[in-house]
Amino acid sequence: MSARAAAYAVWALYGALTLFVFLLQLSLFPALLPVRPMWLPLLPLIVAVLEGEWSGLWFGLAAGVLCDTVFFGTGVFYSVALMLLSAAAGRHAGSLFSGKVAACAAICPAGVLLTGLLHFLFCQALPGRAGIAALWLIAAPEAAVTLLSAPLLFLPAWLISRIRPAAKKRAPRVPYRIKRYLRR
Amino acid sequence: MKRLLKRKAAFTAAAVGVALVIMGIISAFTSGRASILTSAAGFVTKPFRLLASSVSGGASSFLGYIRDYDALQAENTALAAEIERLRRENRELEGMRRENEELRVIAGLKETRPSFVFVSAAVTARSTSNWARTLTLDKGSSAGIAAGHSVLSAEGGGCLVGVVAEVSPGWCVVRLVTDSSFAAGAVVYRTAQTAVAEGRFDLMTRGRLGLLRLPSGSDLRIGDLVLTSGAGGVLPPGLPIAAVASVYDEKDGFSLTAELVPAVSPDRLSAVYVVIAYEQVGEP
Repeated sequence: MSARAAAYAVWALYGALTLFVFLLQLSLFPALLPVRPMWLPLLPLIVAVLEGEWSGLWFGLAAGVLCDTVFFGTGVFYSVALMLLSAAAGRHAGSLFSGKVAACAAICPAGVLLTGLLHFLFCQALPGRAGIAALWLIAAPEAAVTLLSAPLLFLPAWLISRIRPAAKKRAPRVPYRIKRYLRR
Repeated sequence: MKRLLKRKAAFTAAAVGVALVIMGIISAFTSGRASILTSAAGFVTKPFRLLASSVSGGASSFLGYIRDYDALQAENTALAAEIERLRRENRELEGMRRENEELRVIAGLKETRPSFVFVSAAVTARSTSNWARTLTLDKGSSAGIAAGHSVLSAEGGGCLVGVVAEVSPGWCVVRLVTDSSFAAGAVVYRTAQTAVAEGRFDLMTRGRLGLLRLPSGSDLRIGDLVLTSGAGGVLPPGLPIAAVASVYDEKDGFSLTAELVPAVSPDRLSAVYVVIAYEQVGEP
């Protein structure tokens, strides 16, 4: 499989995974679980760690728009927050951690907690919908359930990212002057 | 030795010949019955004949199929069209049956609430977030629905399910009575005590709402029915909201709070009725 075909396959599968999570979030979780895990906002963080900052930014924006349509009363919070957080997660994952799994294990919980905190601040506390008590009544169980179930979401995303062949190491770029000198 | 063998072979051939002649004579005299030879041959060849017959039958039917292909294809097309027509009719009848049921329910609601104008809507999604208790309906502003309209269930002569919170042309979001942002003027049916029915996060997680700011010493019993008071003119008066499940003193010692169980469980609702207009009691 060529690199381009692999990239198409990877993003098609990420799209399918997003659709599956969207349907879960919309139908199965509300019907079965008293505390719903927030997989839809978690997915772009995982993808950002696995694919890098630019992929994370665009995927975060797309997933954020989906979140804003699914969740009531969030305005454009998720579109903006997930875009920025995913880009940041993708940028720092590669520089802080050597392995993808370790990076995900460290960055995703931080991202989930930060998203939850910002959601509480901008969508609940500042508009006067909720007091500080909602943090441990709603936000804490939500974050706990999301993080406990996160490996179930990470596994398929990680398997998808493994489809792509490892990038070939490029030869270091040689300045033109040195090249010309070597030719002589 | 050779001569002996030749003799034996000649003897055997002669015996077989004689036997065949005898069998021929017997069969000539017994008309209507197969000879022994024929029977034996028939017994041995029966499986082969069956096989040949099935092959020829298959071949002839295949040839017939090829010969009648056009006619069969035309018949198949006609049958497919017939099935499609019957399916369409079935769908239409199913739609009419549903519409009939809805109209019956609306007629029932109309009897109990003659001043209300209803729009029926189907529930397409339930609360997806942990922060709100909502229902998404399949009708919106194009059907005359606006934010603030009350939403009723068919059960119990029209119990309050929630209030429309967000509207778009094709859908709307209903904030349920158990949502933490819900608040409505309420009255206890038995005692005519007025209060505020309000959602709270701690009650929302248990599918309940509260009756807040009741004066200490209020006469409240478990099972008391709580209705909308109509105060403020947003919600119609007299809609059942919930029943009292428990009563306890507030920490300040001056007021009571009652936990209410909604009159209808939103998890079981598949269709609701939005009140898009109603006549105020006492209006000219």
